[in-house]
Amino acid sequence: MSNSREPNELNELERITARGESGEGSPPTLDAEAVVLREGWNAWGKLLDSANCDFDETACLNRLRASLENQPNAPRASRFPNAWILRWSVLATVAASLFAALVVWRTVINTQATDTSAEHNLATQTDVPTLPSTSTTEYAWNDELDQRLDAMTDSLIYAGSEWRGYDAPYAALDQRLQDMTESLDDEPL
Amino acid sequence: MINQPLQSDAEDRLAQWVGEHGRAVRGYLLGMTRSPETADDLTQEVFRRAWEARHRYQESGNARAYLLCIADRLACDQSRRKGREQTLGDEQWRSLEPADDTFTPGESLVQTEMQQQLTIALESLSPEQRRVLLLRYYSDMSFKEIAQATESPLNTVLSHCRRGLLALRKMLVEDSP
Repeated sequence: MSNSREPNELNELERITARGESGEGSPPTLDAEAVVLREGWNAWGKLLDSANCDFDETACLNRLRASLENQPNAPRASRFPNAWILRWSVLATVAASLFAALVVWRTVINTQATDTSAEHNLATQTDVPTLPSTSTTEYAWNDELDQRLDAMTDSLIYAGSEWRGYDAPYAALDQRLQDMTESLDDEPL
Repeated sequence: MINQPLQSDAEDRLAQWVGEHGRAVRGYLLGMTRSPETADDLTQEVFRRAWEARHRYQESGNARAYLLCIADRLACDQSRRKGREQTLGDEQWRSLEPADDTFTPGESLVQTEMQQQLTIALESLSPEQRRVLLLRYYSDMSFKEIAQATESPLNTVLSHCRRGLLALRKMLVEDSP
């Protein structure tokens, strides 16, 4: 119901509050009640205009220009770079500080490591066995070792031959058993 | 160098806006705040904001409606900020109005009486009714546009308008001497 009434009310209120012919008269299409409402509207408009009659547009404009000169002329969008520069300068300062701290930290760590290593070397220097004087001739030909290797080789060859000797009786026994087997095969049952 | 003509154009437009719409903006703010000083300050702020947003403003729009929407937001912010602060209503506002030197004593008397009447009329309206009626009076916006600007349903806006008109009629037509 309110929806069907809405267009009528909208039109009526727009006619009542129309500003175009807001003079003393009222649009002829208004009914009696609307005419009274328009009278009140017009009276109110006169009061508003009367209260606002001291508005000085020149003074307003001058004051406005003065206030705009006191702040950056550029609109907000153009003032963005200042904030941008400020933000990035803060970030750059923080990053530089972090980098400097990192460098100092690494330097301190390296210095400590060097000191520790030096101390360790000093402490363990006496424990390190001295190399024999022959260390320089470590890989030189050693006749004694060569002789020992030859002797070892001979011993192994001899031991091999000795093993064959131990095997001989078993070979003879084996031969005899084969002979007996053959003789038994040849004899009739 | 390239911006120079644009800057000049923008300044010309600003001056044009103040000339064409300054009175309406100030009148709206005066009705909303009922304080001439606050209305003047907010009027400056309206045009300052319009100046800052001049690159976003589209010429095809309704300049007065655009300015009054800024004024409306500022007035609402001001009202919210001052929340429970005592507004200059009734007796205070009347007593603070100085006698204007540009008027003769007789004219001053009439002026004072009209201001008193206006104060009473504004007091008889609820804040919502005052807002709708002032926007309707000072802007060229339709009620649909006012509903959009105030983010209110059209029915609500129409209701505020009708009740406000009834209050004004009672105050200024029926009860007037």
